[in-house]
This record gives sequence, structure tokens and C-alpha cells, in this order.
Amino acid sequence: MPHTNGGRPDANGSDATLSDQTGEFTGRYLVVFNDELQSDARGMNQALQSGAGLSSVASTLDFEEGALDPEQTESADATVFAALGVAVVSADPTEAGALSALEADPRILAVEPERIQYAIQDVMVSVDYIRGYRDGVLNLYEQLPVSPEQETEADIAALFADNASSTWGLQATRASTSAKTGAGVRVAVLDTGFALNHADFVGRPVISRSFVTGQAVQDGHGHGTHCVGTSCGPKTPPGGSRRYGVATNDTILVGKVLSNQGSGSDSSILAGINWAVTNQARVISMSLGANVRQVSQAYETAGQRALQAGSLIIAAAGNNANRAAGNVGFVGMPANSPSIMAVGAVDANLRIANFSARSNPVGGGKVDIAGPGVAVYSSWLMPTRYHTISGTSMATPHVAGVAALISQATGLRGMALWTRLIQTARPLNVPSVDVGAGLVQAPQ
Amino acid sequence: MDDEKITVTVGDDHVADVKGVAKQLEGAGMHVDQVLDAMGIITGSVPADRRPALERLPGVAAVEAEQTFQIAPPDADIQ
Repeated sequence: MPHTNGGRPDANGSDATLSDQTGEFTGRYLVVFNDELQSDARGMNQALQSGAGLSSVASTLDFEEGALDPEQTESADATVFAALGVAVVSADPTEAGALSALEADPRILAVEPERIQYAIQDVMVSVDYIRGYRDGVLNLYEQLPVSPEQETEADIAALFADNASSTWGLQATRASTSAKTGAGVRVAVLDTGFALNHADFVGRPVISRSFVTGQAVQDGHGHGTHCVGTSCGPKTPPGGSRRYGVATNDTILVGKVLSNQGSGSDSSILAGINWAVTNQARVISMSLGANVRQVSQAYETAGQRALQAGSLIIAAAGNNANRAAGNVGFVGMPANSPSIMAVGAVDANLRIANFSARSNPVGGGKVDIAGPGVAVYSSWLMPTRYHTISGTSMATPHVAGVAALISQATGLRGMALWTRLIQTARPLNVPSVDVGAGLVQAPQ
Repeated sequence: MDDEKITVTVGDDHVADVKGVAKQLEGAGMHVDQVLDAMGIITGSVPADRRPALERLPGVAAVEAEQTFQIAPPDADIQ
């Protein structure tokens, strides 16, 4: 049987095992019962009384709503937490033999000394000490014969790479193996429009509208078509291309809010959000932003009201970093709104992209999650058909597509969908100011 | 004086009557282009000297200058 001799004093009273452990102890012992006795308060009481000769046993079942009365339990030899299948036993030296008897009971999994727990406090270390430590480490780093980056580039192949069946981004997000397709979920992409004549989307229903005065939905830039491809591209592109789309069977909403020249304004973007929410888009993907640190009340309010209506807005953190030159950039508007999910970009080694903006210290200006955003292959204007580019704009529709898969799998929307995306992200060995919760992951 | 493009956010207490707020804004000198009901946001323009009056209207949570956005050209590697 699994039986832990959890550091209790042995029969002659020596304390050898306890001295091997760190921490402080209360002098009481925790007795852990197996599944057979868990929730069976009477069974636990009997095991304690008959096995260890403990006469006075209090149980959480004796108290209202399972809450203990400390005064009543103080006088008892043992207290049974029925719902947990755990008892706390007071053990003065004369009861050492009693504890041995408990350990011999096959229904008892472990007898462990009760520890004193403390609330975690701030580490009190002086700034000067930490500065000295930093300088020392930097000095060591500079003396390395080969820089770690060079070594990494030369010696380690990329973690992920495009192959004949799918892009590296679909593999890294596990979208390529997901059983979900986004069926029944509406995903709106607010961008430069879409190549409605694209050969990979023949027969796929697209609901579209232009919010750019004097320009049709048809994409004259390419950016919007690339983003629609990543979030909503087909499972098997006709013509033999590798797969590049995450949610292969969602309902596509295309709102043209940026012109063919790549420019737009609040009035077109907010009108696009309003249209997408009214048309019950569960996910709104916005690969756009301005290098403005301040949070816009209009976008923050739009984000909140969209969430309340069951629509999650996901936006690009921005490309204003140049990390190689020491500039980490900042999350811009509208991704810096607390109620809009900000997406950073990682490469095929799951490292932060050189251009990917870092969290902005304003409230809400943090990067929430990351997506594949370097060398991303997706659809482009016909007849070019496909194009490989980089940017937080490319990471964003990966997250939007995965959000559609999660929403299909769970029925979640709005804030609950946001929470699930964060909970299921893959932690990365990258600071959270750059990638938030980590790399977005598709349900399987 | 040139008109300034603005975005007006309607507060939660007036979000059920966005059109009513839009009428108030027009009365105070704003040219309203769009009333976005689902968002509680109104876009348009106003002579700069009349903007402070808009901010004082009941139901107006914020008046912000319109922000413009520009993505990279199609041939850029980073977009």
C-alpha cells in the first residue's frame, strides 16, 4: 500500500526524520485516509478510536456548514475533516505508540507532521545588493567567449517549421491536430477587406461590409486577406498548398475598416466593431494599432460593451520594438485597452519577435497572450495567392482562430472565453511583459 | 475655425438612449456622422471652440480627438 512514514517520531521518541525536513511543526499530525473512508466521518472516527485509542474525536460534520468551532476542537484529541478525508491528531509523547498503530492501518495513506504556514511576504533585500548582483552577472555574461544567442542560432534547429501539411504556426498552437473547426462560431476580421475571388475560399460563405468611404470590400492591399487566411483558412487548400488556417469551418465576417492604402480612423474601426457585435461575432480580430500609449476611453468602452454582448476583441500589441537595438517598444492603442486582448508575436523557436511590443505601464497596457508572428504563410491577393510575412498582425488571427475553436468546444463567450484562452496558453521561457500568459493553444 | 473630428463615448447611465445624447450633441454644435448604438459611441466633428461644451453634456463620458491608423505597405516584411 502507498504508505508514507511522514516524519513522525518513532517508538523510542527520537526525531530523526523530522530533523531532515525544513520548516516548523505544530506538534500535531495529519492523518490522510484513503478513498474508502473519505466522506465517511463515522468510519474515520472509528479508525482513530479503535486503532489509536483516541477517545475524543471532533468532526466537521458536527458543525454548521462544515465550519469548525476552534474552542470545541481544541479540547479534542483529533479533528476529522470529513470532506477532505483528513484528520488532525494531537500527539503528546505518550501517544507515540498510537501513531504507529495508525500507520499500520491499510486505510490510512499517510501520517505527516503538521507544518506552520506563513503568508508569503516580500523579500527584504536592499536595492544596492540587487544592483551589485546584477552588475556581477552582467560582467560574467560579457566575458563569455561566445554569446549565447550565437550559440543558439548555430547549434539548435528551429522547434517548429512549415511542412507539407501545415504551417509552423498551426503546429505550435496545436491547431493542426485539433478536432474542432469553429463550426457555428462567427469570427469577424476588421482589416483591409478580403480577396473575395480567392481560389481557396470558393463556396465558403462570407458576410462582409465596407466601412471605408468609396471603397468596396475587395482587398486592394493584401493584409486583410492574410489575416482572414490565418484565422479562417480551409482545412485542405485546393491546389495542394499546406494548411495555414486555424478555424477551418467558422463563419467569416469581413469588415473593411482600413483602406486599400492601409489607413483608417476611429470612425470606421468603431463602426466595424459595432457591426460585428450586432452580427453576433463571438470573436473580433483586429490586426491594427497606433503608436499611442494613452488608453482611449472609446475603445475601452467598446471592448467592455462587446464583452457584455458576448464578443471578444483581440488586437495586435504592435510592431514598434526593435529589440536588437535595445528598444522593447510599447503596446499601442487599441490593444492597450484593459478589455481588449493584446497579442504579442513569437518565432518558430518560441522566442519573442524582434519587433513585438512589450507591455505598456498604463493600466491595461499589457500583452495578454502570444501567437506565431514570424514568417507566417497565408493567403494573399490573387493571382499571387500566398505570401509569407511577419508581424503582431499575423499573431493576432492565430489567437482569434483558436478562440473560435475554444468557443465551439465549450460554448464559452465574452469574458469567460478570454479566461479560457489565458488558462490554456502554453507557458514560455520569455518574460510575461512580452508574451503574457504564453503561446495560445487549440483544444484537441 | 476648422472642425475637429471627434469620438464621443456615452456613459453607462445613458447607453439606453444614445440617440437622445446624439441630439443633445447636435444641439451643442456637433456635426454627427454616426450613432453606434451597440457601442454607445457617436462619431462626427465639432468646431474646436465648442468641444468643451460637449464634454459637459449629461451622458457624455468622454470626447476624444479621432485617432488615425496606418499599417505597413503590402511589400513590407513586417506588418
